[in-house]
Amino acid sequence: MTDQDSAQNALPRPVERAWTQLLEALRQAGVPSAEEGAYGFGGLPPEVRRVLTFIDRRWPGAYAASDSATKIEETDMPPAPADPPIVATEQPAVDAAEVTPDAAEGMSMAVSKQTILLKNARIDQPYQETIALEGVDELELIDDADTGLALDPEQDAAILKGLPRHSGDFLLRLRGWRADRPCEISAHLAVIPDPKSLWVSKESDREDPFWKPDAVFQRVEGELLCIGASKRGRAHAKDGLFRDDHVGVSVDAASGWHIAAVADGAGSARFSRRGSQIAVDSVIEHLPARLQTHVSPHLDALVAAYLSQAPDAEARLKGQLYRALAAAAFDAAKAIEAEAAAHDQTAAAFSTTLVVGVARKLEDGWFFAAFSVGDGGAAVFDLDAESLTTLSLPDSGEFAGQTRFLHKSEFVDYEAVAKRIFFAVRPSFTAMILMTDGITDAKFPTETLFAQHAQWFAFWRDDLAQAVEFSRANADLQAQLLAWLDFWSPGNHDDRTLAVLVP
Amino acid sequence: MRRLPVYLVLDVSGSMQGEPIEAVRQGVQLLISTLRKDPYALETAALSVILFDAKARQAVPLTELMAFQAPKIEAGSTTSLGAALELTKTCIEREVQKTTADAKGDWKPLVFIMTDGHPTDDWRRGLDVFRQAKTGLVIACGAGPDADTTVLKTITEAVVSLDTADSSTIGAFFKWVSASISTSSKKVDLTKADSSEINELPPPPPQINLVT
Repeated sequence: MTDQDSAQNALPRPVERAWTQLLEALRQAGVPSAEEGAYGFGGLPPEVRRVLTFIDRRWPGAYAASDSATKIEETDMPPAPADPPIVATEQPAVDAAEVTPDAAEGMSMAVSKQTILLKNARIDQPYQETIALEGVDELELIDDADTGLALDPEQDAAILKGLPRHSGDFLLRLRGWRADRPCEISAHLAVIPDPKSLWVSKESDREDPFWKPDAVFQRVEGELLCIGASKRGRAHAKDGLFRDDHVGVSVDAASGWHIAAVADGAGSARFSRRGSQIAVDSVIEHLPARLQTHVSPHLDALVAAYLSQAPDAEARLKGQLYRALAAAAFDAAKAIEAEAAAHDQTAAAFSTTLVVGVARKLEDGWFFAAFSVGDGGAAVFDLDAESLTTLSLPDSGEFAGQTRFLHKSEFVDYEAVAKRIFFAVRPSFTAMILMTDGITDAKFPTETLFAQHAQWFAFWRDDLAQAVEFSRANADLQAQLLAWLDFWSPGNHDDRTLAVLVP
Repeated sequence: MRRLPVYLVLDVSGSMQGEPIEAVRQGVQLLISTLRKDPYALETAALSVILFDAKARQAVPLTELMAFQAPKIEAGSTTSLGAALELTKTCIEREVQKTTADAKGDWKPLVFIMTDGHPTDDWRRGLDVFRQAKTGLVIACGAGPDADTTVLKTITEAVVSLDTADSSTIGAFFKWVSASISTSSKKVDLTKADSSEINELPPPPPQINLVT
């Protein structure tokens, strides 16, 4: 303690030398000397005033004891934040005093340098970091590198605070004292951008023959309200690419079938946006007739048999659904092949997934069925009855990230195809939903979660239906649903498509 | 949140002293500032730096890009590649999240190994341990004429070599590593699949030779 005090009260030799030379310089310049008590600080050049102020702060009494006239008055203090005192002290101290090269050298040799890393800041978020350097005190910020950060003048500790407005790497400079030596600190600061700001949106090329709008919304009404929406993901928007997903909903008033289809064109396939479109359009066009021929005439009897747990009812129902749903998907695969041939391409260039769902009113309750190739998924659930039926197979390929695509080769084996046919019979329901993986990956990250009714209920109650009012009377449904499709989920920026069927 | 873990395993032996080590420093700095401008990488990539000379140490534990800070990189003495491989395995097992029924774990870690010489320790033993770790693509880089690419080729199929260990070539390597991380983080976002082949990465620039 006392060592420290005495060390502080004695001027280091280089400073003392500079001080002496300064007084000499002042005398030579005709400034009345301190001894004569004639000059106040007000008459001195501002740089010199800062030197005096600085020395006074650092070594209280170092010169005041011998010269009371040079006592600094409060009003003469340079305002600290706007006018960094340290820069002004050292440089002019040397210049103004015209110190000999010898003395100048002595000064600069005494400066120690140190480089530190500051905790990363985030753009537009309040930043605060305590700079604690062993044995260093009286830190002052001499260059904020335009980050807008400043040392908190209210605190004894050096606390760097502020609200950074620009992202990037910055080098701030500080000065302080380590023992009796000035110390320069270079402080590296990274200001991290907001990831959201990096997702720019570029328009897709409207001149492209397979161009389609970046977002679509469809709404048809029958006994159910059928809503479809599809939106280009941030990943595609960033690069001005197309929406690869597609959606379609329809109601066949005559037969009472409600139909929905969603498709996700493969990112790696050049014309997949067209593939998904053909798949959906083909199903919407041809499925009603197939359902009417193969399912409608037998539905009541087969459902009754199924409900009474007749042993072969499920297989027979699936057999009829195969002729409608799987056959319609096969038609779609053929349509894709024809389109590919017409453009002198392989069908692989038009690869897409496909999820098809249908719903029809029964005498008592509802019948649902679905067929899918590839990822994405479908389910029907009843919030009141707390029950869920998933209507799709977890359909990743053999290796993670692989998926199946709608190609004719997927339809060789009846058993394999029949495994993708699902149906459900329910007295009532809240909603039937079909989604592409742009939504399932974010909302149902694992197969286990996709099969959990709690996850679905939370998804509906706290998320989707919270943001979107699925009612025929809602005039804002389109805006609400398209806005919901922009939900933020790090690492999930694919196209997003869903179809929702509600009573 | 599924992270894409990236392990940079860097040789800081005595031979790296001077220009090469300075190039590595700048390379790491450039890598992180570049990746922070890439939304895929900024959201998904997590970075760790393992340095090895007389011994191996993890200079930065696996850290999301947002919080990552470049370590102090100083050149030391010998080339303990074996110890580095062993440590990398330990770190991967400790830091990379595994998939559970309720949550997908991290993506398989990308490992970039860079060395400019011959290993001075029992690297085969280290390699045996390293092989137990579940890694994604492992890329080894022999920097300069003294690097032992035969050893590297034993570690991984994906080996590149730099003719010289000067600042522009090492800089080009880090630029390529950065582009590879960008590509991989975009791939996991869009296809939900790891990168497993070097040809899924951007083609290396002319200064970087693929060792076949």
